[in-house]
Amino acid sequence: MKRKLDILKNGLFKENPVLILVLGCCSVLAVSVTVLGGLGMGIALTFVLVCSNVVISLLRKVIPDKVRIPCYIVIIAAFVTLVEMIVKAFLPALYESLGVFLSLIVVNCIVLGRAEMFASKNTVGDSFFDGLGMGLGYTMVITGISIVRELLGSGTLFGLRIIPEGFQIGIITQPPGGFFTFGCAMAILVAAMAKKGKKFVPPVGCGGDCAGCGAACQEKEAVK
Amino acid sequence: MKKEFYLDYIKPFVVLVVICLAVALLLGAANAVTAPIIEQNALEKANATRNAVLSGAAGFREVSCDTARLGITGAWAETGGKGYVITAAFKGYSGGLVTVTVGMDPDGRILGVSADVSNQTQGIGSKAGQSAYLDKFLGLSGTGAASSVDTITGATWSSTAVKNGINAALAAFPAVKEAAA
Amino acid sequence: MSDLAKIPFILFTMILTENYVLVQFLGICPFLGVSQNLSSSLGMSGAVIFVMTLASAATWAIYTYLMVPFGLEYLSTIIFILVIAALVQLVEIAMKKFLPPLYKALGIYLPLITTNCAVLAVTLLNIDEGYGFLPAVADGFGAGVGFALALVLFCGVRKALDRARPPKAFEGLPITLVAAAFTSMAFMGFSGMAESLFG
Repeated sequence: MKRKLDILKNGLFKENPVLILVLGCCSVLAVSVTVLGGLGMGIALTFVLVCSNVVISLLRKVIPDKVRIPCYIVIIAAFVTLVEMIVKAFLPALYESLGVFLSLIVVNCIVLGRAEMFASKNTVGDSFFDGLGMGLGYTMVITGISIVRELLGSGTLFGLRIIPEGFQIGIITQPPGGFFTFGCAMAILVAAMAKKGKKFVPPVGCGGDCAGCGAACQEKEAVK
Repeated sequence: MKKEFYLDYIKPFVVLVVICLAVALLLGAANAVTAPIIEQNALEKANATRNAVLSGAAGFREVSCDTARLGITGAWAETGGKGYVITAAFKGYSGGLVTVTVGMDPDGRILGVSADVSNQTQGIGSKAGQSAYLDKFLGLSGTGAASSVDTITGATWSSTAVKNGINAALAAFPAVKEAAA
Repeated sequence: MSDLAKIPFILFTMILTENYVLVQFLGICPFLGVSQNLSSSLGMSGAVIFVMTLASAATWAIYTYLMVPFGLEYLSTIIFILVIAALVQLVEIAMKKFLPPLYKALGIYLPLITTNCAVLAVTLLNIDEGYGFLPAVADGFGAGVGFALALVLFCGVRKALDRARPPKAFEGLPITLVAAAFTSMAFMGFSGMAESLFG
């Protein structure tokens, strides 16, 4: 049980997919304009991640190495489409606010990265907790960033007005505000780590190769 | 040799096909469950908006007329003869479509306007969907009348899309009325 | 507007006002990952333009002539990603065989494109917008050029950043993101222009 808890915590903090591994930042920047949107996106991604991790782990002995990436993509895309349908049917407002980014979970580096790096090599139980940890880690960061952006940019939280009209900083809800808030969040993390005596240098993207990125992370792990 | 051939070519192919089939079946089933709900949602939403712009409406009958080139996406006549509802969609900020629903009395005077700005920027473009702005269009009639209302400073794209939508509805009104008669 | 008349507007908005990277947040991973030097930026951009244009054409045709007649619109995400993956493989093989110089320049970036979310996004958005064939292809091409522009410009910004000395906590990625914020702000300035040019 302790191992499962460690895996969960790993995703939440030590290897937080967004702030530490810097994966899947497109959706973090784009849908963090409102807290509800951010939270919804986080939950959708967590669902896809947990399901795809479990199924891929179940099938890890069946899927031949040669076609593993197409197989993973099909499995992930299936769960994404499922989530799309459910959200569209039961939460139409959320569907509108997430737009194309809901479909884009398919190519979210976190999901494919975890499939390649973790689920394809570990037991179903471990993969479940890995998916849950990583998903919650993502949700935590995107919700945090969207709280800051909605509060400062629109003066509201969950649509309720907190800061009186006229005092909000509109640009924070605009695209530049997304980059800016994310950059600041990362700087705060670096500063906090430095205070604890740990040096943390955020990786500068992976060149877009998600599967390869997972492998690269693993190599780093092995060196450690 | 045979076994290698199987492992190299047949097995990967079979596994991939089986996974694709399973996925297609699963999604087909899910679609069968959710598609009617999605359709129902869209219907209800459109109905609610129509009722909001033409208060006291008993029911609506869709009017088909060739006004798509104006940007019109739909036209309805109120069954009790209270007026017409016309919807139009125009591009707002960052490519999102702003759908405008306009309710008009039988003479073509605007009774109510609603604009779906959910894909516009929160707090900026979204102002173009608030009643403070939309109420300025009430009572207008005749082609091009919406041009007299100013756009919102800072939300030019979204408010222009709303204006364009209302102008399109005004321009389409004679054709809609004729088609409904 | 006829399909042909739409094309200049689509190109203008996709490249400047609705720039995929800086305004719509699509394709951030490669944007941050390969903008460190000019040659890799250009290589990646070329590959993206190429694949986006082809993918737009291919998915549009598949959607219109295969998926709509069979009522399979709900499978678009899954089918498009597979089409893109297959297309990237085919392009790689064809390029290697018939255009070795081009393969040499773009080859290493091609496999990275399957998971570039901007490519999947452009194909899905073409369908959402209800574009015809030519506008869809123009949309794909414009989105690719917009990506290239953002990447090459930002490459220059990063060159300047290398010489700057930001506060310690901002060193590396954080200051890069802040710089991206300002580059993005510059692109916001174009939004008024599209309106007066085509409005």
